[in-house]
Amino acid sequence: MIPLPSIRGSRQRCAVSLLSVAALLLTGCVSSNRTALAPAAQAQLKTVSITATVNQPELAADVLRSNIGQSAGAQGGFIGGLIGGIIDATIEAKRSKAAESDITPVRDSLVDFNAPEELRAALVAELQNGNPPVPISSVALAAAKDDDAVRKLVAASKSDAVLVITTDYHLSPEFDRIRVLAQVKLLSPKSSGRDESGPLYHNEFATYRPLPASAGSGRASAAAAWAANKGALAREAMKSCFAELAAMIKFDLGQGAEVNLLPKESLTTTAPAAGRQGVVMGPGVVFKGAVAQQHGDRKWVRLQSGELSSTE
Amino acid sequence: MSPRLPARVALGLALGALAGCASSPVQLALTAPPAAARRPLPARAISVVFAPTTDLRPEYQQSGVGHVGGRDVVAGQLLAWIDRSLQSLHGASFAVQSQNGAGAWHVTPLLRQFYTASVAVSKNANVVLELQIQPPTGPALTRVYRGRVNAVNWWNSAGEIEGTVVNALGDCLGRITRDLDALVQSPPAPAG
Repeated sequence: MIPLPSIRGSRQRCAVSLLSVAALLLTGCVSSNRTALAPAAQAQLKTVSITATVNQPELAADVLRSNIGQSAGAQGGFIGGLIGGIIDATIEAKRSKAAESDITPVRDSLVDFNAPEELRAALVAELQNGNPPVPISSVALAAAKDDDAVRKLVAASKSDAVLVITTDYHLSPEFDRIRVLAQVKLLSPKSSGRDESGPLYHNEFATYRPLPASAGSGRASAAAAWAANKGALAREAMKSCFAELAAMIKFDLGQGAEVNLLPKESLTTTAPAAGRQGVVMGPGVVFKGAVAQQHGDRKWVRLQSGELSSTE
Repeated sequence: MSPRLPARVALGLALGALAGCASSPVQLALTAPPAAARRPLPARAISVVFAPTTDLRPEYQQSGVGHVGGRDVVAGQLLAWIDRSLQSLHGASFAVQSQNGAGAWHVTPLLRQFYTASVAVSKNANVVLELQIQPPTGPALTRVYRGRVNAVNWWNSAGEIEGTVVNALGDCLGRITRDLDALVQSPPAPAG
């Protein structure tokens, strides 16, 4: 069965794959999470539709993962682990409550901002009208609660293939940046998403926009800065991220399989880590990669396992 | 049992043993209005007439109200429940009437957001209602009210999730009540 994009677990999957990069870096054994679009398959695609699945109505807030209890309880067997887990859960619950409170002014400033529609507009501009590697016939938004819903969407398509784009957009734990993550799969309706050979193309993307340094430090100051002038900074950041994401997808669709494995000597750049279910690793967690493309003042970093991450 | 069993797995096992690993959809019953909408009628009240709520959420988001703990949350009669709750609303200085009358304030509610979500071990619910308020005299006003709840998702049960949703609307209605009370007592001055 094809591992179709899971709406509920998309961020976990993104994080799992990025975490596996870190694990593999330690072991020195690298494999790719990216599936390149084969030239033969690309040549057969006459019409490709895009479906951007929407799984969050508003900007979300990440919270930092707690490992305090886990570390303390690791030596205590099952009971120690249980107590450690409760400690971590309590800390994360407290962080979540604070983050949900602190992000409210930002959400209120964006109450009339239709982020999914902005994403759709960026995809139309870059992929439908921008001479992409595959001919894009339409760009639609859809809710796909689970893998079955995605399969139905793909199976109902009259296109040769459907590019399913699942995005998450979040404020970082310190509210100092807005991040956009995406999982992208090109699926054929003929297989109804059940083709054992897997998707025609698959990769994951990450980009972000920082809060200007002049906004001051601290989450309350950052929230006020993002929310000021009807959320002008937040709107611009999300629009920029969506535009860049669309450009990254277009770029990566045209890249062959040879970019999947990078020689170790090319791993000179670090890129920010992604998160899982709104919980992110500490700020010191980064992944190595090589600059694949300079895009304006942004660098697109090819991580060692194939994902593309934009950084400054 | 391995002493290095990750703590979260241990916690998950314990909670799972207690609560079961529910993954079935949650169908919200949404029968009674939140407590904020069930206050006693004031003796002398200014009339407020609510129009039916218009759903401004994108069509593809209207079939559900999010996911909590891996469970889809579905509310079939969401707008009707919100309307019933608004119709039951009473402040210290105003009472909602179903019929138009002289001197009544007219309010058109627009549903901007209504969703539940999980973050870490917590569950969230957010309700955002925009009210277009037309006083009997003076300029029209637009106000946005957000009700929200963030709480630990202890059992991931349908009742617990529904309680979160009800409390979020209750929070929103509480804010509306306080603001409408203030507005009807000090209406905006007519232009000019």
